[in-house]
Amino acid sequence: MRDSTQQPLIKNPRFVMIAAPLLVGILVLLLWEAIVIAQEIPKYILPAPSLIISTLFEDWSLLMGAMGNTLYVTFLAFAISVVLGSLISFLFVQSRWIEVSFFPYAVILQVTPVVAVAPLIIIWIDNTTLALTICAVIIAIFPIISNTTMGLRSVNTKLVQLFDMYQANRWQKLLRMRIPSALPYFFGGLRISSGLALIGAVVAEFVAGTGGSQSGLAYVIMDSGYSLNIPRMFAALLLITLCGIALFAAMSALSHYTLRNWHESAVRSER
Amino acid sequence: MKSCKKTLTTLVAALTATLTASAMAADKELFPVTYGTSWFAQSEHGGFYQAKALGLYEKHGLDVTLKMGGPQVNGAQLLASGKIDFNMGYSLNTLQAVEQGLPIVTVAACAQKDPQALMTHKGVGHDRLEDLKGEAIKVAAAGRNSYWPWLRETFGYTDDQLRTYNYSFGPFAVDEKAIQQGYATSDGYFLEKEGIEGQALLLADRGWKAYTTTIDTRPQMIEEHPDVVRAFVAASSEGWRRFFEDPEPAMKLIKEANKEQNRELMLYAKNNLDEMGITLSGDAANGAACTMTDQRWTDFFNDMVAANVLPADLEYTKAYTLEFVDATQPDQEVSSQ
Repeated sequence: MRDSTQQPLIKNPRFVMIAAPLLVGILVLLLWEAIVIAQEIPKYILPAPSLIISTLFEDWSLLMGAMGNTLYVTFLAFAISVVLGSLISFLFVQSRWIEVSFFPYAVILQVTPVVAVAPLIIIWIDNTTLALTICAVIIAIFPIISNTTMGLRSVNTKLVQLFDMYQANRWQKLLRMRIPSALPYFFGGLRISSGLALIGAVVAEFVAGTGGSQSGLAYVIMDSGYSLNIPRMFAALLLITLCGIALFAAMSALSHYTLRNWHESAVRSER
Repeated sequence: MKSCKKTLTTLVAALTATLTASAMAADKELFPVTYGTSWFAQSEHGGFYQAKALGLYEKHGLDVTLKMGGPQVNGAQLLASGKIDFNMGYSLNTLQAVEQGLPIVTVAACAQKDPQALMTHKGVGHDRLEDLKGEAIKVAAAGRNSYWPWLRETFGYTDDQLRTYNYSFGPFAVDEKAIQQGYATSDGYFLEKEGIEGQALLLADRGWKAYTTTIDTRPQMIEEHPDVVRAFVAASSEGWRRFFEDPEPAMKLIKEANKEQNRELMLYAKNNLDEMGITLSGDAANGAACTMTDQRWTDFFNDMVAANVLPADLEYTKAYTLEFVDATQPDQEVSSQ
């Protein structure tokens, strides 16, 4: 890194990491635009990227409001998943009995199609925001439970022996040994879970169809479909994907920042 | 792709022509068209199935395929993109299509009254739309930008009354104060099954002027095959009249297309279509099923502008044409062709 200023940009790995996917994206968008123009595809079949972007700015306040509502549910669900999921994992590793007894039910949560249960949850729970959040938690919590549990269990046996040798107590073992070795797994879970929380929020909202001041991006997509405003539908889709990418990037950055000093996944290898 | 499709259509037409010509020299070749409906087959679509069952479309020189819609099917988009030739829509949707520049025109409207209703319990003081001001009402996404703004404008409802619609009578059954959207023609059937004393407050009876169960097509179709459009409107209109005389042929086809249907429900809905005047009331009271008028379109458009659903400068007359409504008159039946 120290001599990156002297090198041509193309040799800078960081530049390549950003530029290469950007180039692919731009090429795809240009191709898309070109096909739409050349084939004269009407906007209600496939809007051109330029139209989607201009719609995004035209309906900016409506879309931002909707995105705010969707992100609110996403963050709420994500936070609950992280806290609850970690607590459950700690519980699981306390005893084999607990894990064996309850883990299958965590799997049930994971494999339950949220589209199928969302209508029921909406019937059971009157508060719509809460119902949406629960739907999102159902699918976002599993990666946290599964990864963190695995992480807490995958402690190097030599380390365990070392801690035993120094007669560390249960609390010290958890704080200084188990948690640090679980962290990389936990962050892996975070990355998956953040995206799932977003998907969960959007899917649940599709089922609930909450309009008005509470409307989120899924409602905008549905409503645009009804009123045949297809460019707006694509603009809302674009925002959902951007949120997903931003969440993933944020989680990756958090993971890197926390682990950079010691874990192999984050320490830059000297080559 | 367009030219390829055209060649194919010509080829098929030519082939059909040769085949039928050799088989029955006198018989005219049938023009193949597809009508996309708005939902799974039900009595609310009875007239079209009746026309099909009685061979009215064939008499008018058409080979009609009835293609069922469903929850995730966007008929207007299918029509605009040419996947179907006619679509069952409703007037607000056509107006929105015009607003968005989609090539869609309504040529006939087979429901003079939209069956859209609010379902309430009997005997709790929820007997008129005025009574529901301030009460919690469950409305699905599709209603929130169509009839809800009109209810807001007309009866002073407010958005904080809106609740999530959960596609179920369960919560409605246990709470006698509950109010939710419904379909006046068939929802009562399910309530009766559950032993619930419910009632449907029909929006159309209180000034909601949307046409539904419309026949929509593309302007291109009207330009190139006006006779086909006319034939489809005439045969469908006759189908609707004959459906009320004897629904059996249509019911048989509906049951074939949608196994979920049962005789009792089909008859229940058919009787409601009749008694509520969904099909034959107002301008169609004389039997001119599927007719439309300028006045009604203008009134509805103005209502929608007042409710802030449509922009005032929309060229709303582009959404419909009265060119074919004369084909809906009872005296225009098969003899006309």
